[in-house]
Amino acid sequence: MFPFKFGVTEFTPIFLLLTIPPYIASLIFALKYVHARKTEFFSFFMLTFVLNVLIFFTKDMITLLVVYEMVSLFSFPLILQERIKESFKAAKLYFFFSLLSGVLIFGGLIFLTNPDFKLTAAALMGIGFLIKAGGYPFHVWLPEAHPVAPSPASAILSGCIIKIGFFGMVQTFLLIEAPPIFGGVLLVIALITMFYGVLQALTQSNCKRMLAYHSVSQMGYILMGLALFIMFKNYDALAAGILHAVNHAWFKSALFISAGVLVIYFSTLDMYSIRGFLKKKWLVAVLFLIAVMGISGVPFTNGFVSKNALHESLMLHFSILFIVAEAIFLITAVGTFASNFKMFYLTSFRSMRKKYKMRFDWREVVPLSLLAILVLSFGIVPILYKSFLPEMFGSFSHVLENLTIGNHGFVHSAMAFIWIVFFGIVLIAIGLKKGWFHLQIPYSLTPLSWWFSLYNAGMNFMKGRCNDFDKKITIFYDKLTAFFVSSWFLKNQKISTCVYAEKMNNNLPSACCRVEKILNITGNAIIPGENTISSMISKSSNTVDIQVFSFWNWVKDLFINIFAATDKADEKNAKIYDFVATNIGKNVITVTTIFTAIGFILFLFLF
Amino acid sequence: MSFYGIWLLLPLICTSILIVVQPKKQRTLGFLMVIFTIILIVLLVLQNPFYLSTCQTVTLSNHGPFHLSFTIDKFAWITSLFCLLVWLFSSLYSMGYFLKEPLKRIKRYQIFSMLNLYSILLILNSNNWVTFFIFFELLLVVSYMIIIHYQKPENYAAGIRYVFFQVIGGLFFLTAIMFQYKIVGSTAFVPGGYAKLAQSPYFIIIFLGFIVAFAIKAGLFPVHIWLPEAHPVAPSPASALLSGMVIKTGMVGLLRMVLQTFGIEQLIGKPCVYVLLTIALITMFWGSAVAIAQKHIKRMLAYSSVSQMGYISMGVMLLSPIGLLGGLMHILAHSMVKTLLFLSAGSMIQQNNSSDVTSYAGYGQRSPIVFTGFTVGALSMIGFPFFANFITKWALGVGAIEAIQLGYINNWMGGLAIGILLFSSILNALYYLPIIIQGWFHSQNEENGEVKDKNAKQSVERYKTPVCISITMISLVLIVIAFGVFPGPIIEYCRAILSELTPLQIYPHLF
Repeated sequence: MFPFKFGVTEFTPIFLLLTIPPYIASLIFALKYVHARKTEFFSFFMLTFVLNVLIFFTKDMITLLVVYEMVSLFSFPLILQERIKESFKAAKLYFFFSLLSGVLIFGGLIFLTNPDFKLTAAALMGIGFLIKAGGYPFHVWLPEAHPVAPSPASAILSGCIIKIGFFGMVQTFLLIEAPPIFGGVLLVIALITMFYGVLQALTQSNCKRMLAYHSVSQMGYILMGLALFIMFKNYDALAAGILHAVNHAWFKSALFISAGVLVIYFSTLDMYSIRGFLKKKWLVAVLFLIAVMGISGVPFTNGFVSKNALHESLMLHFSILFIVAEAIFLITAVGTFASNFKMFYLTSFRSMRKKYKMRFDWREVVPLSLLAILVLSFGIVPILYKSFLPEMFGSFSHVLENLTIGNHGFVHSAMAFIWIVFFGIVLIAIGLKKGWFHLQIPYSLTPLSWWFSLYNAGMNFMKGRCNDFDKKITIFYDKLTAFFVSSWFLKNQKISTCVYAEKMNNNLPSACCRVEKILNITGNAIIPGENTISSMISKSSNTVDIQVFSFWNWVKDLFINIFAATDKADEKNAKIYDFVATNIGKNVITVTTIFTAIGFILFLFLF
Repeated sequence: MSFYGIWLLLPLICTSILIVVQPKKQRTLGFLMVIFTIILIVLLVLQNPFYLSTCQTVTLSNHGPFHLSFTIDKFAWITSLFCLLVWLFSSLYSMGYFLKEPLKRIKRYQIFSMLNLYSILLILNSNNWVTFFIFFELLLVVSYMIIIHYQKPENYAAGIRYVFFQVIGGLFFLTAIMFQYKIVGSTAFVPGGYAKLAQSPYFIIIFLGFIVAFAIKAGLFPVHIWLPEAHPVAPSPASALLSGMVIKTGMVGLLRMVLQTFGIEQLIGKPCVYVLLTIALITMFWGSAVAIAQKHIKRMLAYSSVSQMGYISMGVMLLSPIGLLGGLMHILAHSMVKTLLFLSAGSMIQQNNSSDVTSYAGYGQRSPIVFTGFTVGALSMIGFPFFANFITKWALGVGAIEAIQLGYINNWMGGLAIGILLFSSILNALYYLPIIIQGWFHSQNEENGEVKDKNAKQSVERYKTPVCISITMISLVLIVIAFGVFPGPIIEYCRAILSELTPLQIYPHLF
């Protein structure tokens, strides 16, 4: 049996807390949302669920890899579920990047078998898991794949499946003690991810695409915690990162489910054309607002707790890089606030003239309220997290206590949050008026275009250059073969035998034609004196003189045949080759037997 | 009472029965083939050297160099077993494949298929190079006959290419054997090899002779041309035989050469080993890279085989115990997986009336069993966990690390080997996955998600798959999965084989 090692680890409780609520909520919502191909959807959904839970029970890296690849494989049909045109492109992109990540982790594990290559292994595995987690230049699959999936599937893809990449990174860097430079690189990646994600999110008009870019941006926060851990062995930062992963799973799945509700009732995802959501379904809209508050980090929600915990870890270190990091952190917070509240404002508040009948559907309300309760309760009583966290994060409970309502940390951070609200509202107001949110980052500046150009260059190289060269090899061997056959067999044996045979049958004209054909093809004047063989045969009655094989002629022909790169030579050789294939090929057993016999005779003589 | 000699002769008796019988139905011949193969498997299992204390040997002639003798050691046993499995499935499949062909042609095919089996079994069981060479050459003639089965011009063209390559390879092989006999006075396989050979001035010639012969047979990089020509023109059961076992004889020869003629210790650090390792790495990349551009599905699979032969020779040329283990296991795994792929591709071409890789939209819904076979084979090729190739790729990668650790190759070469191993997996995905995605998720009525004809019927029409083809697919799928999920016994067997073939210093632990 494959050496699987499963068991409860320190990280199991907190990651189960991350995984299970979004899955249950999405499953309930899927009962309403999914209409076509239900069997396919639910079977793959449940498989993904089971495997996604199973991955947090793995005790060694190879078992983790096996389950990880299985999750990639079985979540793939979820993206293709709606069978729309974009979903095929997105699914291919997703699968390709998942596979790249799996292959890199596999390579890392191979290097891990030798302690000398620990750092190579760490780098490979880190990049592999980073692809899944959606780190900056590798995040391109995420905003393509998540919006095209049906909403319950996007909820778990964005909520849980990208977290297994983070889980893998945590496991890797707890297993391998990496030097701080790894942390530095990861910190830079995390900052770029944060900033780029929020920048793209601000300019999107498709709700789900915007949410997907927010996933990228929030993964930046989460990775920042890990980076600080690698750099300074700061366990609080890692705990804050894990906490943010948990919180992000909850509010992001709630947001995607709300987006699913929007699709159901407005049959569009363009936030500028949806209006009056609050009037139409006030309960869902309120739950939607709680999720929006969560992702923006409003006090009394869990987003506030984890973001401030991360911010505190960042504040511990002072240098130029960290001032930049601080600035990006705050700008991202403002951007997150602005883009989410903008979405909420546009979809919910602008009034609608028609009056709708309120319809209450438990399949929308129950999953959303489940997640909203989690968001609020863990935000108000952050100490609840403590029992789920591993023992190594013992000191983190002080941070949590400090962020509980009424304590100094809470008050301080809440006051600071007013500034974020202020700048966010200013950004929304000016941006909507001036049309900033319709600006687009040029395609050539997005990593997607870089990946595509890399892919195209590779494909052109392999489809063009390699394939052409392979054909050239074939032609080279064909020329070689044709030359050998034509000079040895045709000239010395084949011609004479065929002429002889057909002379015996009194079929002279045909024999002449055939021989002329052969000579034209081979193109070598081997008949002394006369130019045509017909005339020669008509002169002599019984025999045909054919020039004896000359070695130097043969060598000369060899060079001409093989190295003359003219089209004519190729054409000629192709003709010879056809001839050989159709005529000699039938007699090949004879040829082989002769060769083998020669070999054996040589063999016996030598000894 | 030993029946080993009779067992070796049995395929010839079967061939004569096949010649004599005059069946009325097409599938009778295939059925007879299946029966014969099962008898051979049963007799093979009865003489399992893992449980018997001694290896059985049959010597027909022992006069000087003309040494005709066979031994069933563990390596011969396990490769024969997999060879017979390939033949079993191919014959079973041929019962459902050749339905519209004239009886005479099927008879010729089955006779030569049996002769192929005969020559391969004797190659695998031979215990010296002369015997190996004789049946190596016989294999050339009889496998030519299954390549030209349809007797079209392209068949002859592919066939003659095959023959010219093989004949030249055979001559190189013969030269190598002659030199070896001149130097050490024997051509027998000896565990640990002959120390004298590596020190002789003719070492390069002998090495080159063997390598050229095996490279041509297996289709390594510059001489792989015959392989993608021959596979598409042959009927699918024959391509499965070719890719499944015929080209593996070259790799079996390579293993025998490294372990039982030169010996690992004599080869370590020789420049020619580096050269062959480089060739193997180029082959791994080249096969996959060229396969991407192919339109014909069987041509694509053939290039994939080229790449996989690179994997095996890389594993062998790393010379580290786990690398050898990986190479050996890859021979076995690839024989099963490629058989599965070629057989399913044959049904796909037959049922869909097209061999274009882009023409299988919605095929999975119309013929689920066959396409499941293709999917499992393709996922295994890519190296997904739970399938056969995951284990072997793992072994090959760890083998490269071990070779660095033992100092056989330097860091850069080892890193390059692992890098190409991984890169080749990605390339595999690039040409297998589009077919799978199209087959399962597109429908014939759609193109890239846009419905072509809105009035067309929604229900899918299923192709009729013959029962024997379904059985073949299911059993091969089960074998491939079992190989991946329960690799324990095979790893143990391969370790036993390695320790028998050569006195290893370090015994491999894979996981």
